[in-house]
Parts: sequence; structure tokens; C-alpha cells
Amino acid sequence: MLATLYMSVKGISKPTIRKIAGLDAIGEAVGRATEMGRPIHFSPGIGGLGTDVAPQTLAGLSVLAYIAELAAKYKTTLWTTIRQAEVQPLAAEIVRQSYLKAGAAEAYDEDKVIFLSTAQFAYASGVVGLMHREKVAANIMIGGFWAESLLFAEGGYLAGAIQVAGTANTAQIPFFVAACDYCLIGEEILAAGAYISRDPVQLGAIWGQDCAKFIAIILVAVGIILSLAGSDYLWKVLRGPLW
Amino acid sequence: MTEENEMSFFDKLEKVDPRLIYILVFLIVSLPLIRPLGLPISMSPMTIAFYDAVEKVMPGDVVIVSIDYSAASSPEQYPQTKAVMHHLATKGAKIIGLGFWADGTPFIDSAFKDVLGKSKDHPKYGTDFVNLGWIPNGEVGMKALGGDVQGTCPKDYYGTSTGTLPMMKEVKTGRDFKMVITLSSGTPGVPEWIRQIQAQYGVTFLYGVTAVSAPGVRIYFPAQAAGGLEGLAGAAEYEVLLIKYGYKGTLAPPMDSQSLSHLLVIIFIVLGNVGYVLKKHGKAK
Amino acid sequence: MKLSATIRRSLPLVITFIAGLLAIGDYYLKVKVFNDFITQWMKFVNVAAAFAVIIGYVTLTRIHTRRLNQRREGWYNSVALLIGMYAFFLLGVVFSEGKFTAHPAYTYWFNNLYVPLDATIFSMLAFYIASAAYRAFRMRTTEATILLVSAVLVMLGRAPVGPAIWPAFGPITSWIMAVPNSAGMRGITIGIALGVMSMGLRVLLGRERGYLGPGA
Repeated sequence: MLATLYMSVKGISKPTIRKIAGLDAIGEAVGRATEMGRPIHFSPGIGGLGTDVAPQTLAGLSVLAYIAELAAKYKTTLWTTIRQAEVQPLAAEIVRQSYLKAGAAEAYDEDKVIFLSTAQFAYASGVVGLMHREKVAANIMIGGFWAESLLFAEGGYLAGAIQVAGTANTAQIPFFVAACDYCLIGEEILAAGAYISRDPVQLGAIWGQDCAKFIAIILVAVGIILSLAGSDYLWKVLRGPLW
Repeated sequence: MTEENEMSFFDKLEKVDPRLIYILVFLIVSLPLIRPLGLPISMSPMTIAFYDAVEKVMPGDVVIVSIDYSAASSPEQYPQTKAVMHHLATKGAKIIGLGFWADGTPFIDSAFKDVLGKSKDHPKYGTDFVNLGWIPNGEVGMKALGGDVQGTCPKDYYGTSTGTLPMMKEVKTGRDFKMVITLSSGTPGVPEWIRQIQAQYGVTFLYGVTAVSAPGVRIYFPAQAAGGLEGLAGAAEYEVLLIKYGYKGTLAPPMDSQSLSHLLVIIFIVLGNVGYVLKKHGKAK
Repeated sequence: MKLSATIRRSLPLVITFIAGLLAIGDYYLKVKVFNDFITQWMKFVNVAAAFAVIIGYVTLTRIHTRRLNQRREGWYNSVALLIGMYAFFLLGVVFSEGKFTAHPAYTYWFNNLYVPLDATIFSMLAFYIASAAYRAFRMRTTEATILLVSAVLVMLGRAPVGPAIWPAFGPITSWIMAVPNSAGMRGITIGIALGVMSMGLRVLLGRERGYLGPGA
């Protein structure tokens, strides 16, 4: 991972990311909301910044910057709902900077980046209520989601919104696949920042992940062959301890 | 004219009003609770593995029961909690109740009261079971717990110093846990316990999860987890296995509700697909 | 003391780097003094993290008192929220006679108000899952058909009615969960773990600064 990061940053190699339909659909969703004159709703998930789901929250916030810039450019209302208190100032600043970048600083409304509640289902009922009251036309959810994921997806569907969702929580992916128009599965959301920004650091990191996955596949294949041959050597080595 | 009516019927079949679905689900779930059907409960290998692992617990073994769920999933997981506590108490285990979800920890006290009659006022509190309450900070808290139990939990849920509780004198680090059982509906939960305690100290690990989480945590069986209770069905199966220990289960009627609601969903899926296929067939003509 | 812009930008990155190295070092190095230090440090972090609860209280109070003062649409909901929030706080801290959440009054309101409310919202999933499954499971493609068939088989196998109709539903469900489901989930989990590792590496090296805010 370090090697690919270095090569990408120094321009030795220019990695590319395959087409991710869900991320391309975000622009389509914002466009639809603009045409219909109805707002967009975005949620960066219910995870915070201090746990192992922080990467998902950060991925969601990088997509928020992109959506906020589009919304500012097209003069579409953007509602951002937050569950963790420490994420709210970050999200508000991201939206403000995006509006500034799009030349629409005066259109920024800090009351539209709402911290609803730290209680999971209180947050869920707040979001569903907002989607129905505001009749959102696009519902974009990228981040760490848990049991409330289907509540959001069905709530958005009943409000008539086009939905793009993504999470790395494996238990919730099926709900998004079933109920949303576009779904980002697993680490596709972690690639979102790189896909949108084309930043060499992020592209290099994605490339490094793919190389590591390739190594994992080789290990799995070798493990299958060894275990079919009756050897558990590789399993013992990987299980540790190393020393 | 007839063809248009037929097409319209297939459209209706394919696009049933969700409100009709909601009303039917409500009726289908509530009626068996009033008049149970008595469908037999079959065993899943995961529940049997869970039961077998707890059967191996010897009197005096220290077992952590971690309540890692919120009030929302308590209808599904509190029955698991009571059944697990009952089984462990029957085996003579020394139970340490704790949790990493703030709004789940009152259930530890409730479970002790429901299973043992009393919690803090029980004569065996402190010698056979303790309630350490909420430990903040999720996975980092688990790591701290594994490194120094009494340092991480200097007081129990009721404000008593853990150093003064007789059974805690021998429990210093994760190495002193014989078994960890997490009853979890999300994060922190199964993967965090495996990373910080099971993998570090080689403790026997079991889980009880909501049905939704079950496919995601099945990957840890059997290498890291010795067994698991999956949803309300898992709890019902476990109750059946505990009948021999005099446990009186209450989950037969809810399982009837679950059976009928599954059938209802399947019927709607079939109807929707019939409408879809026949509509497609009609268009192809 | 006003810090220069360079130090303000670099200091959080240096702290992150050192903290990350210490945590990684604890896993690989088995040196008693070092491991004991990390254990103490984790306990300190635990205590500090508990104070994050206060952030939620302060933020909610600020937002909803402002709504109340400005008489925004639905301001009475803010009144209900503030009353509920502070009532539980008073019950659990001020009037709990030192028992905090173990006090019978707190337990009573927790069991009879909070638990039913939370469980009710969660139970909406049962209705939504029925309508989502009805809408989503269509035989549009081969893959969708496989998804539909396996969903039906698992639904039948995991409830008593399935084995009551045909005993083989149980073993079929167990096979689906143990083999194709586990295979797919393991692949996704490995991919996600590598993604998280990559993000962690970037945070450690200061290449990922999203958590510091835009412009960091």
C-alpha cells in the first residue's frame, strides 16, 4: 500500500477506477431534484469519527462535498442530517466551503445541516419525517448504516425520491440493494472520494487495496490447495503468533 | 376490452398498495399471539453448537455476558439474554454482566432479577455474579478491559468497588475469562470482541445476534466463534434445549407469528412475480 | 499563546501519528513496561471518551432552545424533547440518591417509556421489509431469480413453518447460510478490512485529513 501510494503521488503511475454506477447516478439524482424543484436529502451515516467506522463517515463526507457543490451550482435545497454530534460541525463546514467554491455563499443555510439525535431510532424517525415533510426528490445515503437503513430506504421510496445508497456494513447492504435505485457495495464507498476527486493520494490508496486483495486471493488459493493436500501449515502461520 | 382489463389486473397484482401489505402484516403477526398455532420448533446447527459450548462450562468458570444491544432490539435479544443467564447459572458459572451500549446496560440488572430473583440484594451477588455496567468507548474499551479488568471497571453498576467483590479478585485480565458471550445487535459487537479479546487471549467465544446480523457474523464460525443464537428463532430453539433444566420458554407464540409473516411475504413475492411475468408475456405477444 | 498556522496544521497530524504508532506497537511488542503504559493510556482514553456524551446534550439543547426562542414551525416538539431529555437526566443523576440508572424510578421510566418507543420504531422494519421484498424480488434477470429463490428458501428454513411443511428446508437453509452466504460475506469483509487498513494508513501518514475539516 505504501508503494502504490508513493507511485501515484509521484506520478510514476496513474491508476484509474472502473465505472461505479452508483457514484455516476449522484449527478443524475441531483439533476432530477433540480428539475422537480424539490430538495435533496443526504446522510453520511450514523457512525462517528472515533470508531472503526470512521472511514465510512469520512467517505460519506467526501461525497457530501461533491453533492453540496452541485446543489449550490443548480440552486437546489440540500438537507444534511447528522446523528453524531462531533460530525455536525465538520459537515456544516464542508457544505459551507462547497457553497463558497460554487460561488453561492449567500445561499448556504446552516440550519439545513441538522444534528437530530444521538439515539439511533430517534434519528431515524427524524430523517423519515423530514423526507416526507419536505418531499425530497433525491435521497443519498453514503456511510455507516445499521438497522435504520431500511427505514430510510422505504421512507425515501414512499416520498418518491430517487435513492443512491452505500455502506460497508455487510448486514445492511441487502436492504439497500433491495430498496434503492443504486447501491454502492462495501469498499466502493471508500473509493468514492478517489472516484470523485481523482486525487493521486486516494487513487494510489485504492490501487494499493486492489494489490492487497490480489495477495489475499493468492493466499486463499494456496490455502485451499494445501488444505486439500492435508496440510494446515499456512493456517498456523497466518494464525500466529509471528514470534 | 378484455385484454385491457387483464393487463390492468396484472398491473394491480404487480403494484399492490403498501398499506394493504402493512395491514395484513399487522393482522398476521398479532393473531397467533392471541391464539397460538403450536408449530414445532426445529433446531439449527448454530444453536446446537452454542448449547454444546455452554454445556462444557464447569462450576466456577468466569463467563462474560456482554449486553451489546439497545432497547430497540430488546424484544428479540432479551429472551436470548435470559435463556443464556439461566443456562450459565445452572452450570454454576461465575457470571460477569457488562455492556458497551449505554442504553443496553439496564437489561443486565433486569436479567439478573428475572433469572435469579434479585440482583444487587441477592446473597450470592459478588461471589457468583456481578454487574459491571456500561464501559464506554466501544472497541477501545474492550481493549482496556482485556488489559486490566478492575482498572477499566473500578466500580460495579451499583457503585461498589470491584476490588471488594470476592469473585473479581481472581479476574485481572482477559486471560482470566473462560468464555465470552456477546448478545449484540450492531457495533460494537461480534467483530470487535473477536479482534480485541478472542484473538488476543484465545477465549471461547459465543454470540447471540439479531436475525438481520446473522449472515454477516456467520463467517466467524467455527474458527473464532464456537456457536451462535440467530434472532428470535435462535432464542426459541435454545429455550427448547433448556427445557431439561426446567426453563419455561415464552417464544412459541412469537415463532408462530414469524412463521405466518414469512409465509405472507412469500405469497406477496409470488403474486408480484406472477403479475410481472404475465404482464411481460402479454407485452411480448 | 497563538500558534502559527503551520503548527496548528501539523500538531494534530503529529499527535495522530504518535498515537497510531503506540497502538500498533502494543500489538507487536511484548515489553511489560510499554504494554502497561498502553493499558493505562487506554483507560484514560476511555474516561475521556465518556465525556463525548456531554457534546450531544449541549448541541441538542442549543439547537432546540434556539428553535423555541424563534418559534419556528413545530417548536412545541422542541419543548417535548427538552423536557424528556432533562427529565431523564434529573432522574438518573440528580434525584437518583447515588444509584444513577440503577434507581427504581429511572428503571421504571426506562422500561415503560423509552424501551417501548425505541422498540416501536424498530418494529416498523417488519412492515417495510414486507413491502420492500414484494417490490424488489422480481425475476428480471438470472441473478435476480437466484436471489429471489434463495430468499424464499431461507425465509422458509428459518421459521418453524418451513420444516413443518418439508423437513429439508432446514438443512437447505443451513447450507445456503454456511456456504454461498459465508463465501460472499468473507470476500466483502476482507475487501472492507483492506479499505479500512488503507484509510488508517493514510490517516497515520497525514495523507487523509478529512477528520480535521475542509481546508486542513
